[in-house]
Amino acid sequence: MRTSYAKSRPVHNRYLVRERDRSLLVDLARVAGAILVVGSALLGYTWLHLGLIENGYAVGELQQKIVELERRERHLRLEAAYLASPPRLEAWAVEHLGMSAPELDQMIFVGVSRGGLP
Amino acid sequence: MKRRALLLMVGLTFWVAGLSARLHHLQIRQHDHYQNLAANQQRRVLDLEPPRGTIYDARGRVLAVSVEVESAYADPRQLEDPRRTADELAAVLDLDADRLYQRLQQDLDFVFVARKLDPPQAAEVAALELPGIHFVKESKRYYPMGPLAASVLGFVGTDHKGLAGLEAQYDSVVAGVPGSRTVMRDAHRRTLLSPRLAVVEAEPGADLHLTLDATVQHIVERELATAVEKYQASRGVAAFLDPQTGGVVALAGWPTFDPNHFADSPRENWGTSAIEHAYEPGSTFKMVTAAAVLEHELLTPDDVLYCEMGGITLAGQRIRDHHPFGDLSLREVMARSSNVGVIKLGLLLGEERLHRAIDQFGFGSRTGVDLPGENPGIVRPLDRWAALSKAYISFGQEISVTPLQMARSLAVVANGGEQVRPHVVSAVSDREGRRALTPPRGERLLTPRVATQLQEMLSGVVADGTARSAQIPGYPAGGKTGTAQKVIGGRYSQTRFVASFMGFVPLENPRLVGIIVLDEPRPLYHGGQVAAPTFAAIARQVLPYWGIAPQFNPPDWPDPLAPQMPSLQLAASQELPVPLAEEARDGIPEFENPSPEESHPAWRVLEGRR
Repeated sequence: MRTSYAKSRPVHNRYLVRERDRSLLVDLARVAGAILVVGSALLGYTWLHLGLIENGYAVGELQQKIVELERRERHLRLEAAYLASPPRLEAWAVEHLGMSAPELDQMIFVGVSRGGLP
Repeated sequence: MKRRALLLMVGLTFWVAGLSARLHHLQIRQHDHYQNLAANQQRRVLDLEPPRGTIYDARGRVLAVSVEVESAYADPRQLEDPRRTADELAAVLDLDADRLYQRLQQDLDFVFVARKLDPPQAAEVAALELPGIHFVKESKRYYPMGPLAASVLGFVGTDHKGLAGLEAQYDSVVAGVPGSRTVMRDAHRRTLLSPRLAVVEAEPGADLHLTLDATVQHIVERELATAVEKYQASRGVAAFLDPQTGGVVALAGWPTFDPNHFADSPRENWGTSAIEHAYEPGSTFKMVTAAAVLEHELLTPDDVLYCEMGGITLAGQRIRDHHPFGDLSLREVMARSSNVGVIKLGLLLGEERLHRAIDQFGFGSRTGVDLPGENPGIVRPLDRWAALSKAYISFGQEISVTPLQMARSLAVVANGGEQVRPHVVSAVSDREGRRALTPPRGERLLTPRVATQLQEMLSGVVADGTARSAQIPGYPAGGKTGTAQKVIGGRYSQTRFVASFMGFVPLENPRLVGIIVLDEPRPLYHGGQVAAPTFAAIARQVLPYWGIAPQFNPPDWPDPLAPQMPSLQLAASQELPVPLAEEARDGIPEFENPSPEESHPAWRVLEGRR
């Protein structure tokens, strides 16, 4: 506040310089480093955790697929067994294809000499 | 200013304190409670049902297999119109609509509508898109060859537990061990697996590999059914063994049942007649008496016995022969099946040696075959034999045996004199590999010389004796007929008989031993008339199937180097009734079909009736 009795006096502060506080910088760097390390670790953990969850879903789906494929494989085995059933094959051959069982003298025994036992 | 700051501070303090208190309550005091609630919502423990082991025949064909199918259930609280739901389901599933409606009215959240549906049926139910109707997967046992070997395989109940046959005998082996897996479920009910969650893997049931051959079994069942029908018998039984190992190649009873729908058949058809039903063997038992006489070197096959011209009187009782015979050699006694001749063998042996021979052959005790419900038969202890027991027992009366016991006794003769243990399962395979279960041969009962003598004597029965109808062109065989009177009301019936024939073939290095038993055939009732031809019909088909060539050389024997003939041929006068390509496709599934079960004929044929 300027008054009548006040005498102005120049203030010589242009030589004041802002001095760097090195210890503060070091502390800041340490804190930043620590934050970076902890942050990276947290990010890494989160990334891993998300990856684990994604893989969990994928494994679950694959497991389901295996179960389905095994189920289908068993269905096909059942079907193959039914189709290869001797009573069914015989009925098919006789009724649908008009075949009949051969007589003994019409058979050929491969790898067996004539009239001999194996 | 300060006042405002103070109020703010106090407010914040209370807020933080309240929040902390609430957090403390939720996170610490109620921690376990809320953790359990979350776990129940997110985690599910899935029961892992082990697949029941598959049963294979001797050539690796599937005889029994379990597959996963759908069971339909209702959540009655979700049903919009229970009456309409019951009507539509009943129409598709062939159920009683009113009873189903009553069940759907229950105050429950889970009611089974129909269990273990075949895929086409499940698809039909799903296509109705009824609210409140859901599906759960369950395992169902199928027998793809239907009635084939039904009594040997047995069947399982709704809970998948073996109730009969091999399914019951090996239940603990084929059932497997259930497991469990904990999974996470997200808000969309997607499954999330995590290595941190507990898993107890289910242990699949072991597979059974049988000695039984499906093709031989089919031949035996077909011929047995033909014989039962042709000779108007009330029942028929057949048992066929490999004489070298004791492995059962076919075991059949008629009438039989379909294990896919076992409840539709009477209970008496479910059993394995060849091991459960004991009968008086009659003349087939004469082989045991002759074996004991030869083993003790009391006679040779050529020694002559006087057969009293039709009857013998012992202890005041007259025992008649079926035909008057005079002098017969031991060989001829067997070929003609003289009762008097064999009674004299029994007298020659004496009670003790005859009883010991019966015991050594295994009569009166179980054979140990790996099937449930085996009947040991009846052999009275020696101290309970009556004065004439040795006479009657020597020709197969006063004794009760099972067909399998008789077949085993003939296997001893056919293999050169060593006891065998009949068995159906040759191996078990699981995760650890395949383990053979073939039992070792038992003790030697007959010297090779005696076994050979008996083989020759039994070949005479077929060549020139009571079993000439068992002759098979190209395959010399041996065997013995039996025609036993049934005991009705404590007396031997004059009109009701059990006809049987047991035989082995070929004569050199026998590969097949079998017995045919027909209960009360008529009007023909002699074993040689009804059972022996059935044995021949079976052996005539089985031996070529096994690649065993006949021992004759017919004039028109084809050149082995000529082109192969199919195992089934077109009858000479027949032409294909329809274009082969069109006819053959009918009923054969398209395996490229993305959902093959929808078009598979097996489901139609095997379709379960719940």
